[in-house]
Amino acid sequence: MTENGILNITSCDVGFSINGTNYTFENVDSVTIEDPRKGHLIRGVNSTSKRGLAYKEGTGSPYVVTAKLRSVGVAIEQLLAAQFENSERIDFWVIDRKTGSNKFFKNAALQNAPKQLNITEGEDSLDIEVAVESFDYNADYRE
Amino acid sequence: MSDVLLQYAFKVTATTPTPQADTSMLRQALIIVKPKEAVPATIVECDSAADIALLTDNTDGQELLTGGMSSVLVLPSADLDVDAILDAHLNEFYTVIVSSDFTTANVDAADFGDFAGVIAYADDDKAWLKTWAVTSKHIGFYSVTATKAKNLCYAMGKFLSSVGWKNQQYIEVPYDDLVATNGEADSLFNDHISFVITSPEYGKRLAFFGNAKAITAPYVLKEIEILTQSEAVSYISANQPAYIIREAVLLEGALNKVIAVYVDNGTIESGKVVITLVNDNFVATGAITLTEPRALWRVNASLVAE
Repeated sequence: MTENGILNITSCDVGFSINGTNYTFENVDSVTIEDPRKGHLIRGVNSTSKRGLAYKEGTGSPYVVTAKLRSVGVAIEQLLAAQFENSERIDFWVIDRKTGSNKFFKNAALQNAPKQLNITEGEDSLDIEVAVESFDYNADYRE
Repeated sequence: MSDVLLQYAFKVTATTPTPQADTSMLRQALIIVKPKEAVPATIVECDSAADIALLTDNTDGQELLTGGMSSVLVLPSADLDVDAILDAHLNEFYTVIVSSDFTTANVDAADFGDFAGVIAYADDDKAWLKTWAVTSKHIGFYSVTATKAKNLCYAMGKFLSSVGWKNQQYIEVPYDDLVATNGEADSLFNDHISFVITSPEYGKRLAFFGNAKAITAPYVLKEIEILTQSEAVSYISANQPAYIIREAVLLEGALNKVIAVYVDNGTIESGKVVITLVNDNFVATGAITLTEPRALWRVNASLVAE
């Protein structure tokens, strides 16, 4: 459902595109989006202003998108590793498969080469994380 | 063909992506001229003034090369019933220039077939040019008899050979069309007739180039059309998409990337593609919305002395 602009991961496809070719992650647990921009208020230490002065920080920093996945397969892992090594860009996307509502992060750079995080017994051994940074974020909500 | 053992042990299915469509035809122009004796009515590619001179006595087309084009297409024809010839070469050029060999009556009676690009003509009949320039993709250029279509060809040569799509505001041109008063210049501008102004200080300058729309408009819109079509074909062949919403959204994203290039470099203000799946198989519906390219030629300012 995308009421109020909320995407539910259970009805979303998550993936990425490289040079016009699309790849979908089969097992996605969550996608977190970190917006670096923060608005603050400040006033002079003489403390007379009740309104204060507004300013922003972090506008020069990118959005950081982190997808927690369960095993992506060797081929995709190696593809993303190559993109990371070559500093190539990808388009990262989350799309509601019923409505088409989406969040796109274009010209994104991988923060690292995705790899298995835990070599252990149990489901944790399947954990993989893909994190990208992008300045080109666009959300499109549809009913 | 691969060795049978190689194919047996390690079968490889290669996928060749479709190449991007060629847009070079947008930068090519065809000029129609009257032929010299025994010259056949076929399109010839000329890359020098000497090549053109072999086909015709008309010298307008040479200015396309002087303006910067590396080659031009020349069609020597006794008249403007050129529909059959143009229809056989529609993917080779997007601009047709009718040379000064032909009159306004010839142009009125012309048959350009299915050609859907820009048609340009120069004359000294302002009333005729005003009517001609009303039609979308018609460029009417004011010139005096002595200069024929030389300034038109020079300006078009500059335009088609420049990097990107630029409106050529106030470029220097080689010939004097004797427009030297503000009254006459305003009149031509208001009638959307392209023309050259002669300034005592700045010399001969292109003072307007286009019609009711900027000269860049038809070319940019056609280029976007070709590139979005090409991107759609490339996307479908690379991704072999199913008829599902996700694929429609991703195709939209790929096509909007094409348009974003023109928005980012300021050629157009905005543009958007929307792809919708309908109750059908195989065919989706697309809507492309673009703002038209515009050009800034003049500024009207008021000065208040206090």
